[in-house]
Amino acid sequence: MKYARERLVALVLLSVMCVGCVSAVQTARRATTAAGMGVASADRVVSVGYREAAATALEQAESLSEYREAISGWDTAVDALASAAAGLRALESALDAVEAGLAEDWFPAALRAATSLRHLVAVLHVQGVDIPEEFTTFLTFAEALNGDR
Amino acid sequence: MAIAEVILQIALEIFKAFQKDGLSVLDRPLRDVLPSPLLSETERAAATAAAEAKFRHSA
Repeated sequence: MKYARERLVALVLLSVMCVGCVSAVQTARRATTAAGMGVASADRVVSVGYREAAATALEQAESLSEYREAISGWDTAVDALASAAAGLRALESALDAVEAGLAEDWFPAALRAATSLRHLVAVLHVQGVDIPEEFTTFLTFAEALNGDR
Repeated sequence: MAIAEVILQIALEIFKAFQKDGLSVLDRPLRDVLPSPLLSETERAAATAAAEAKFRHSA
């Protein structure tokens, strides 16, 4: 079965997280929301960094292309944040579809979200942005899922 | 089984992280915790507009 091992691992995770004994989908929603809170925290940090870097670049650059070059690292961070947010929203939509009986599987969407989160943490690391604490656990989870494939 | 052990540990850390406020905080939909557009996207749009205005005038 495709993703059989990952499914097993995810079920172990969901079982442990399932403190209130809710459904696997509900627990996956909680993990998605937790990751969303982490992305929101990172977004707040990046928005402040972007504002400061843009002000400096605007002051020092002599052309629009110079400005864009100076700010390109922060642009990459914003793109990675947007991609991670989109991945989480897609995962939430997949969970909605499964809950509504319109789809049977949300795990591929979870893997895609994990990939985008993994990319985000790499970009934030390059940019020197501290990873928000609540983000770290899900990112480690993403690393584990992707590293096992 | 190393992967399962890692994920079990992570799951416990997630539980501990949210134990203080309870897991109910995680029952909120994504739209309640993640702004759309993101703050950084809004910041970029404003900064880009300012840069384009400056260099359009100086060109």
